[in-house]
Amino acid sequence: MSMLTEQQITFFNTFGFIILRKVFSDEELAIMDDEFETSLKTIQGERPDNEVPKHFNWSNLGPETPFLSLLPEDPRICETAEQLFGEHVIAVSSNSNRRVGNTHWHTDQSHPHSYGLKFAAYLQPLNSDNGAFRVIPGSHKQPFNDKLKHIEMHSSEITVPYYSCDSAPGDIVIFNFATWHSSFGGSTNRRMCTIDFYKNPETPEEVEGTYDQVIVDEKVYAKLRAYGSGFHPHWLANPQNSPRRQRWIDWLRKYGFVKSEEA
Amino acid sequence: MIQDNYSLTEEQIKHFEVFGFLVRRNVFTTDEVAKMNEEFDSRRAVLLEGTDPEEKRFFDNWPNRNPETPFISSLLDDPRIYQHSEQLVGEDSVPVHSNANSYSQDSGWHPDRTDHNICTIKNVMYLQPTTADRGALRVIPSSHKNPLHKDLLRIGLRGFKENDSQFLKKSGLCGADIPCYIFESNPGDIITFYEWTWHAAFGGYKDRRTCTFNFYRNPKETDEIAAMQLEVKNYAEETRTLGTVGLQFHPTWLENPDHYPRRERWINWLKEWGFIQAQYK
Repeated sequence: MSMLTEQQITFFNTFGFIILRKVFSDEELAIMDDEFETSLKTIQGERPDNEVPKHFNWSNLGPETPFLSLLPEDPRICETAEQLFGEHVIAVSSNSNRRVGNTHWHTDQSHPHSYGLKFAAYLQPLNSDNGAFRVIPGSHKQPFNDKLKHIEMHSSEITVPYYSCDSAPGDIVIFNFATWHSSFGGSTNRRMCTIDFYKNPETPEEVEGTYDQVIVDEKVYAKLRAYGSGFHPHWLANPQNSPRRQRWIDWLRKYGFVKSEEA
Repeated sequence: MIQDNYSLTEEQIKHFEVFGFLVRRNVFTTDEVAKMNEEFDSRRAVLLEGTDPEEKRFFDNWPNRNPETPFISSLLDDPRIYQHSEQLVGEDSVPVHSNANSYSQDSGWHPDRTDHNICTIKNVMYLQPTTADRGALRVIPSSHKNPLHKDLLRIGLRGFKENDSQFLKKSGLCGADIPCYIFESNPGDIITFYEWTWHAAFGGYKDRRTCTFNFYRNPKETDEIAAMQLEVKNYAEETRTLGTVGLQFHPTWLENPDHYPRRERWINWLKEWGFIQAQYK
């Protein structure tokens, strides 16, 4: 059964994002909260100052977070990604993120020929004033996407027109990496789980973009001071022999996202 | 606070070009808005007296350029209306439409214009406060340009009445679910947008009021000239379709008693293109 209707796919392709409501049940949210909290405490305990940076994230692919580690393979997630970006999409990360304060306007696309999409599940209710995901609809497409790089987004003279993706726990916001987004007014403890998928490259430019993405990902990982390895050996061992996961792992190795020492 | 210099900054012009609209706050004072509402009241009352109440109309609207609404009529000659318009669509641009509008329902998603050979902008001032739930204008950023402009047509979003939109019908969404910027405003604020820009308003109510001032870019290229000729040809029919009551270019306005050079230029242009003659057809 298809996860998204034809109209939902049209909406995503037109506006560069979509909100899916009540994807996770209350029971699942309780598990997600619990795994998030446990991981955060463990990480805080291991840090010398017992504190974590303003923007902090860690991989959910370890055995300590069994529910979250399986989310990329959850049909509600991976089949939706396949509908949007083709059956050969690759799950490249599954993270928990703890954010403090504002995230200014930006895109997640690092190379013009590298395409991806992000699933974001916020663990708290959010609206425009307390950190909800803000998006500029349609900004994933050219030439609009590039033009936004050349205008002043933080001027008092103008207001950046945006749409606020107000959400409740259980909802998922899916957006194209190229879509401009931000978040303002967030608390000191904004929590979200994210899963990223890359489109399988099909042209020489896209292949180049994918290799470029490997370098960028390493830099971003270092900048965000992410905790631990992105790809836990337990996940790479693929104990359930999932064919889909094995395809992802093979692809991640081929392009260098997984280094030989991690295998 | 009303600014003395009504010119737009480079940043504002760039914003308009990129997003297809621009918001200016507190352009007119409370006293001026009160005067507009007063004129609006009396003109609407007179026109409604002469209208068949059983007649089905999208909305009541009438031209501003008439001696019964002298203050509203004078606004076209006010730099707060023409100065930024000339910055946006050219010093030789011309106000072809200037109307008062009284709506009684929502306005579904639509652009006013899809032919990119005619470049027009609309200045809209709401005479009552608006909020997302009560009639605020909504615009889809950058929908004045392709590919978004055409994409929205292709998916079937258009429908002046919500039920007319094929996309909304099929998706089960309502007009308010479409992601956009919501221009919540107080009387005196003005939004200017390209007529190609997709817009809508929800939470409509009886006698939701706007005054609009539309400026046309002077056509120069062959395709633009042909499109403008077609515009003139269809002018009378379009006016009838919209149910506009009265003459767009009232003889009193055409007399230009104060000999404004700018207005004189506009009148010459309107005559040259045939708009003034077209209103009598």
